[in-house]
Amino acid sequence: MPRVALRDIHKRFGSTEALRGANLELAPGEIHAVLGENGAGKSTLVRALYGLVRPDRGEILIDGVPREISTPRRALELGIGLVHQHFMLVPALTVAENLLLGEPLPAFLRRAELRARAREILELYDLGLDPDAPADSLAVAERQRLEIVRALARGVGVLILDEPTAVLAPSEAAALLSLLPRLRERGTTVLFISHKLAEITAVCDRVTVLRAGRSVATRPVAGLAAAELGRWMVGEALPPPGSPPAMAAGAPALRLQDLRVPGLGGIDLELRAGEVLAIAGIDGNGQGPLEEVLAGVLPIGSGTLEVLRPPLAVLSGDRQRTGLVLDLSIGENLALSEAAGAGRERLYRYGFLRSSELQRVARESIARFEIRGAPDLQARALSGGNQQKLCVARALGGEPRVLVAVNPTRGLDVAATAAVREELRERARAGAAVLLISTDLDEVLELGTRVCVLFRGRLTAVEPERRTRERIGELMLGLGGA
Amino acid sequence: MDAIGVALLLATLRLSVPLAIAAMGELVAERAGVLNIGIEGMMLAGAFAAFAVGATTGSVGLALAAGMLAGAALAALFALFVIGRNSDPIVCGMAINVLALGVTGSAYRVLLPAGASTLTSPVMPEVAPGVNGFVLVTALQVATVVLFLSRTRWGLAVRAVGESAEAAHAQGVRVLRTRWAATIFGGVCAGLAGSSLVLWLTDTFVEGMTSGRGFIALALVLFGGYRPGRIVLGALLFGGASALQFRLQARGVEIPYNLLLMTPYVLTLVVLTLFAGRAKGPADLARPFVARE
Ligand SMILES: Nc1ncnc2c1ncn2[C@@H]1O[C@H](COP(=O)(O)OP(=O)(O)OP(=O)(O)O)[C@@H](O)[C@H]1O
Ligand SMILES: [Mg+2]
Repeated sequence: MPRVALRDIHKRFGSTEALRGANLELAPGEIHAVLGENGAGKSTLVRALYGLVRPDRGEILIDGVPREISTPRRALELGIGLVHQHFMLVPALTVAENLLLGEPLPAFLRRAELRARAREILELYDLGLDPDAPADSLAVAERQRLEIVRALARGVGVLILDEPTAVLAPSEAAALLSLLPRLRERGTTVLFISHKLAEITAVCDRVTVLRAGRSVATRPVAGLAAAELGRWMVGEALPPPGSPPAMAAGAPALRLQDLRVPGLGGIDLELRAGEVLAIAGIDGNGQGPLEEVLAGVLPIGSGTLEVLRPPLAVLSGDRQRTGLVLDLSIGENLALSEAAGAGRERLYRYGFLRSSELQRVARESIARFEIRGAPDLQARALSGGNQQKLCVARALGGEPRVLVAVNPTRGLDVAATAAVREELRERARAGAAVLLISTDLDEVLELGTRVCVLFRGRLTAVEPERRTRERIGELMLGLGGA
Repeated sequence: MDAIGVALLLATLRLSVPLAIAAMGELVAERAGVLNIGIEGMMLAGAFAAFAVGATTGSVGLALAAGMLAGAALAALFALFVIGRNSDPIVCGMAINVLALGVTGSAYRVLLPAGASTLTSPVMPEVAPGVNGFVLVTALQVATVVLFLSRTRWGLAVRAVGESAEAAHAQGVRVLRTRWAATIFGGVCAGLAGSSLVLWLTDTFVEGMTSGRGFIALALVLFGGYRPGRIVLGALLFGGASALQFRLQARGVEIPYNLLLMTPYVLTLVVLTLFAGRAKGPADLARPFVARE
């Protein structure tokens, strides 16, 4: 008997049909992957299982018994846990409070006791976080790891992970992946959503493919190659990875000299037109401050920052917090663009926003980046990957001559990832200077004309002759002595 | 301390107590994410209920109970719309204020037809020489709220729900129930604050007698940066300045009286803004919450 069965689930949001007959069966103690393009309905499906979405039709069976799961509380009672695709911590509460929120706690809380319990859990999963730190002071990857640990600590029987590795560095992702078979041994059933095909072939037992809200098929993973999986999902062969723009001696476009802010200790860097300078590194090593100081959000502590070829655009690494205004529409988010490019003058006349023009620009971006949504749709209602595409569209919309892209393909499906990477290469070839800050090694190698590594707030250049995954991986962990 | 000093201190306490009680109640509601603009009306309803019951039964205990019950009832009405149906809290709060003003006014006239001799309510007794029962009640209430918010499981739920209802909900915290409870608590406190106006400050009821005290309490929460210590300090400051101002007016000091009337407001505002720093309110304050899409 399946541990969990979702039968013929339908869900419509306004005019969007997110699910149109999705079926999913999880066998007891298996690791089951769900694969599908951005907006295929993966998150909606698991949110229905977790009591966050009310299906219009269909039924949910837990251990063969039909259940109405109306709240996450009910889901947790039934032993189902979900790690969300997006930040689901209470920002103002501490790590310890977030970790223990919703757990059975004594009526009166003692700080020391809470801290000790939290520390115990954190240590068990080897997560070196300060229990008293507020959750919103954590880097994206740290938050994600905290949420994973929180779900594990609850000891649920069915663990749903919605793109848990999207924000993790390769080493962290590997650690998480190695944990899954151990959970399986304990009898835990895992539902694993990811766009990274290699991860699925590495640890999953079976995979279900979702296409436009419908489940197309479920197959065992054994014997399936990543490329095959990709073809199966998209319906055609994937393009081979491209190669980085060749070394070009363009004019300097961005120069940082001994730049210091809290979290960054003396960054020297010169970015030239026509190149992609890729900065690899594990989140939390200064990526946040670097992005913020380049975006002009964080004041410069000391040193200099010169933009020699404006305009500069920043593609934020945190689409929900600093990338988008989630309550505004797609069109309005596009209009917020800081890059005073050609688009901006067109959008306003005598200082007034021209809604017809806004619609046109929005439709253009939607078509070009294949965003699944209408111009008036709230950004909040987009799937994670489509929110990401919107961020990309806006950053590129102002025709920037310096582009700072932080994890530009985070959460994108295989085809969209290839398209965005090609777009960035194209921009560089056309003379833009691109600073790529990424935790994804493949991305760094595929795009970077030059590669650097950011570790503990310091930048180390990777020697061109030693440009390998291993070497960069070492430097990312601070092991690159010689 | 001389007689004038003692009198001034007493007056300060009498004027601060209603503000402190109401503000601490509002603090709990707002920490849970509910912006209750209706505490002015809930105070007024509490004042009237305490007066009516106190004057007819002569019992302070019953008067207090009635005052708190009236506050709770209005808070429940408010919650029904704001929490239950995601109506706009500002509109609903103002509606509560108008409703309370109208209903208490008419009810007072029914209770006390024109020409009838005035009714008086009993007064709150002292618990120690010079210490009115309400001072003790306030001290207990403030301490309870402080401990509740920072040291109990429910306080954690209240804070979580006010900061991010969505995230708290996803962890199994009962968002709506928590918000309901916090709102009712705020209403009970407002009712209690209103009762103190009748049972201590005066011994009678006057139409619209809260005269903006509910709004002052709201402002104290905001300008006190959601911190209990500062909120109580603000209440004392406002009460003290008001007491001083009354005394100066009675003495006939050569300052235009409207300028004097202004001082408590200006002083409290200036002091609290200077010292409040950049405290952030609950992130999900007054934001509607949908449990299941
Ligand atoms: N609350 C909502 N209101 C309106 N539309 C919604 C809402 N939630 C999801 N949708 C739509 O439903 C569709 C499926 O979204 P879903 O988040 O399930 O996709 P997904 O498969 O998880 O994609 P991704 O890989 O990008 O995370 C999308 O088109 C999305 O815009
Ligand atoms: Mg998703």
